[in-house]
Amino acid sequence: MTKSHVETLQSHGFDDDQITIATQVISYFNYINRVADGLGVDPM
Amino acid sequence: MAWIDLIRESEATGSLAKLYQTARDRAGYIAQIIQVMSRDADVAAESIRFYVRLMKSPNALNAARRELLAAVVSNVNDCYY
Repeated sequence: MTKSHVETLQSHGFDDDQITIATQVISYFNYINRVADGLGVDPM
Repeated sequence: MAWIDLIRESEATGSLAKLYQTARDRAGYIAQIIQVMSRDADVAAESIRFYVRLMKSPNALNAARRELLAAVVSNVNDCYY
């Protein structure tokens, strides 16, 4: 997520609470994807 | 097969056994992603606690939007999870 992304979301009517959660969902799944791929998890 | 040795449900004791039971009660099975974190049950438990709080509890985004975001991220990463 970048400042540009945040501004785009704000321009579409998303409020700061929603953007905060969205950023954390994106970050969480990037993290868990890396854990899964890094350790060779089987899968879905 | 994961590239590390996992601690299976039948071998789990203590906090890991509790973690596995909680996962089974919640989802009906123990996800592979939980099993792969089994080498440190306390860290795994905190990771799962954050997931449940972020994805399964009411917050500013409805559940459908959160799941859609998760699907897009995992697709971009070409990852099942």
